[in-house]
Amino acid sequence: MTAHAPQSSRLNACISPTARNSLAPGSRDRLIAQESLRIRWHQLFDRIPQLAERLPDTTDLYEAFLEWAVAAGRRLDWRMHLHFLEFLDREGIALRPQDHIELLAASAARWFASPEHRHRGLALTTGTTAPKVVVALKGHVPLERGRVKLAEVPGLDPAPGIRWSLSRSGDFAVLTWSPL
Amino acid sequence: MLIGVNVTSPDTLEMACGLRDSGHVDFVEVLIDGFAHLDPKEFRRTVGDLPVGCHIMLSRFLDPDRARLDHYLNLVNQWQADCGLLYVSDHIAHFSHNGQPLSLALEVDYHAWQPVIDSVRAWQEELGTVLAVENFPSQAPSDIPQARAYAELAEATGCEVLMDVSNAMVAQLNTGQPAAAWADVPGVGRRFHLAGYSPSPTSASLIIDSHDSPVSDDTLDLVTLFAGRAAPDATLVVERDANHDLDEWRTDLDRTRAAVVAAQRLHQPHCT
Repeated sequence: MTAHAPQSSRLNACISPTARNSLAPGSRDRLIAQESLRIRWHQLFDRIPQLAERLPDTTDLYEAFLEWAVAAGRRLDWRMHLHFLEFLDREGIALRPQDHIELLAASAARWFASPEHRHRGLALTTGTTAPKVVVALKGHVPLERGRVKLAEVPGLDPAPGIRWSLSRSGDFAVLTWSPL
Repeated sequence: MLIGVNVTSPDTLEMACGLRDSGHVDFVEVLIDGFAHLDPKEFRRTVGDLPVGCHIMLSRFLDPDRARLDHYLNLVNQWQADCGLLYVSDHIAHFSHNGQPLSLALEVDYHAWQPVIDSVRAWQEELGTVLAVENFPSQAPSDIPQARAYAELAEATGCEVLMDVSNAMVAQLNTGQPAAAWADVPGVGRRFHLAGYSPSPTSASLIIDSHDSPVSDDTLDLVTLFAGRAAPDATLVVERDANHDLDEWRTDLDRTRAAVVAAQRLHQPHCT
């Protein structure tokens, strides 16, 4: 019989550093959990190089973020960078407007690979970026690549929090904002 | 045997069309998740008469959600009708835990295999076609060999095994389970994948199915073994999902075709 931690412990350890630390040091299960957390680190920080360079310690901050996300029920799908923005705000870490834009653009880029809908367009904004929004557009035809751009929406007032809006056709004829 | 490449997004489709034009591929495998926003008729127009296989990444049929399964079911049906599909394939793995997506898919527990068999049977019946399910690049040893579990699965459901040859090599390197054992598994013989793998930066003892580097010689030796037993209408995808170096991809295709030729089973409709 191959000795393994219970499956629920192994799965928990792939999303929580605390759960990883509860696995036996040097075990295969712990190594796999560490690999999962390493990959997520890259998913988070590789797309926000300017902000990552300014943060004092990405390892401690990253692990605190993961624990907060698990405890608060934040789903780290294409919205991961939006939740990271939310977390940094809660931690009182000062963010510049370009940090907001970088985080929104990172989320938009991850949305391209999000599989569960057929929408062509996504718009993202925060109170800091309004009246500008980050727009992600999938192509109309198979060879047209996705694009992320910063655009101004006349009449979009700054409002607290992070908001997003999907557009089936990508024309954003109607912007219906959803809070994060 | 038809040899093709995977396309996961519009970014890589352009490269696949180039490989079609240079005679390197006989078909493409579309990751349907990445093309859900597009009309499959447009895709057909883009690839011309190239046959198309279908790969599903995140149906998560082991963790069924009605709306999600309906989304994929509608997609597959639409692509089947408007584009024509050589096959439909999917994965057996954990992709999320407690609602949280996992950054690295994790292997299922073969001690709790019957629910997986039931799920494959149900998903296959819904799809209305023979489903090809991919073997997993095991990271840790199990006292139940994965090949034995898949043999039971194929016999119970009639599904095919999407035999990822390099996944079997990764599993062999990580667990000691022999990759060649898959050659005798029912359901192996029509659908194949291969890709590059590499040691994890976390520890060189952990081999990762990275899809970002050239195919290994060990993988190609296995290709010859499997191709020698493959069905005449078999398909083989040389996958790349990162580090899309066109020269490396082309070289991998040439080496793979040579390995298949070595098995004397090659059908090359697009090559002279």
